[in-house]
Amino acid sequence: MNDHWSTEAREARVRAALRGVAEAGPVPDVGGAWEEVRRRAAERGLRRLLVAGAGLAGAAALVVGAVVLAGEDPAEDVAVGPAAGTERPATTDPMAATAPPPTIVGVPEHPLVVVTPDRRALAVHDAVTGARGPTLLEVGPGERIEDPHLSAGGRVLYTVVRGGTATIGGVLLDGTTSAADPSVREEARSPAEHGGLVAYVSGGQIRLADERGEPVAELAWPDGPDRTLDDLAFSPDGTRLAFTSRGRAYVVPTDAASLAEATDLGPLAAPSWRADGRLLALAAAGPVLVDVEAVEAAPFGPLPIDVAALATADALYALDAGGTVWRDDVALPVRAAEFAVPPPA
Amino acid sequence: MAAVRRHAVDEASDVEALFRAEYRHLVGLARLLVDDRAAAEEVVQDAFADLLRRRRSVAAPAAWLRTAVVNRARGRLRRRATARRHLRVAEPDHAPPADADLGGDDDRRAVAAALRALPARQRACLALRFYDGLSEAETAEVLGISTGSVKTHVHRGMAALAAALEDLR
Repeated sequence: MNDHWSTEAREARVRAALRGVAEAGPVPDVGGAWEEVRRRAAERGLRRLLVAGAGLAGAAALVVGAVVLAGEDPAEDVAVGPAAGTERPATTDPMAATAPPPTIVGVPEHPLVVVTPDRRALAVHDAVTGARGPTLLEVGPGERIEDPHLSAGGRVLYTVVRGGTATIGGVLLDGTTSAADPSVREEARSPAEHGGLVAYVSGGQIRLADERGEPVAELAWPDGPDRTLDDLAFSPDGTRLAFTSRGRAYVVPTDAASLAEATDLGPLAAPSWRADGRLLALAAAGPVLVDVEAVEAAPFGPLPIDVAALATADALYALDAGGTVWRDDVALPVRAAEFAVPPPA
Repeated sequence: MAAVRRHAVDEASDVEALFRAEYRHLVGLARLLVDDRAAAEEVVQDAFADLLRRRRSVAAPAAWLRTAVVNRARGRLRRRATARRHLRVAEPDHAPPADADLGGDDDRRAVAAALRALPARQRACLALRFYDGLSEAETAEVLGISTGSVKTHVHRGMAALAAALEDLR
């Protein structure tokens, strides 16, 4: 195609086209933007120092804080998914026009836990009808909820991010908290739970704790901290943990000594276990089903939507790029930034 | 203590000078990687806020910023990083709110749509090579991939984008 264009002419055309898109619109207010940068930096720096220095005094706290700051890559923010302000306006949302007003129900038999599109609330829906159940958590301005996880015991774990600092929490499906909620005192995110064992990411490592948050084990790469660790998921039998790092998915035995024992499954995102012990995950070209033993991935689908996340429980659940949750091939009247379903039985 | 404070001030002014020189251009780069201008500004501001905190550990701030911008833009789009074929099927029902900042300029909208249909790596390679003006080696370094991969991504991205531009003629 385009053989009649010289390479140079084609490049010039592409340059001009890119510049047109890149520079459309008003000229940015550089002075105002710089003030915003300073505000963001101050907010994050302060939060990180407070967390890193907890329990330490004065200069010692500052030293620890500096080490935390210095050891980081220009990795993506812990934030994932669409940012506030990029959501579709409600008036152009076909779902908004057709979906009935939500009916509030009790804790449903088939719970579907969602982080609302603005990431300010954690809510339960009925996975069959989409009806809205209890709201489990609401956070304030400047805070957002990420990484919802629903355990077999009906406990919801989540990450709250405020000013670049992440902590994890837990709440039961009826909105009450239990005595056994993890009270991890360090910066932590991406929690998952199986049989009383909680896994989360902290300090560039995967940490395993008992259900009260008492540390049990650490899993790190031999070459040091990895700030990209994410998407932890216990296998149905609890013997293995799937996770992602630097754009690839891995599986590691939960009793491994380090992540050196992990099996590299390839460039995949958002791994989720099925009852048969295989992993659903997202490859660049779409969803795949991975045989973990053979390290073989086969295309899965095609699904009639642009899949952003997948999970199985009593059915196949998917989140599409527009933020709508699907149950098998039915679009539920539920909008979400992320979602969680119970682990497969 | 005074010396420490002085050092901190110098770092901030270094970063500020870099910000004043690079902000508009990097917003343009980010705009090619995300769906609208506001998101692009936020991505670049976040990258600079991180740079301000980590100045001492960053040896090459210009390259570091580009990596941070690309990674943050990809983080934003991560949950939609999937089968573009499926997206095209679903598009009539799931039209994204992208490109509102481009107004009624149909050519720009078409270019933006064609860019968005590219895999993230191809998009990043084209933006870094042909908007940012980086060499293949510099692009490879920013993205943490080989020069050969950059060549491949650029070749494929160019073919796709040129085909879309051809339709506009």
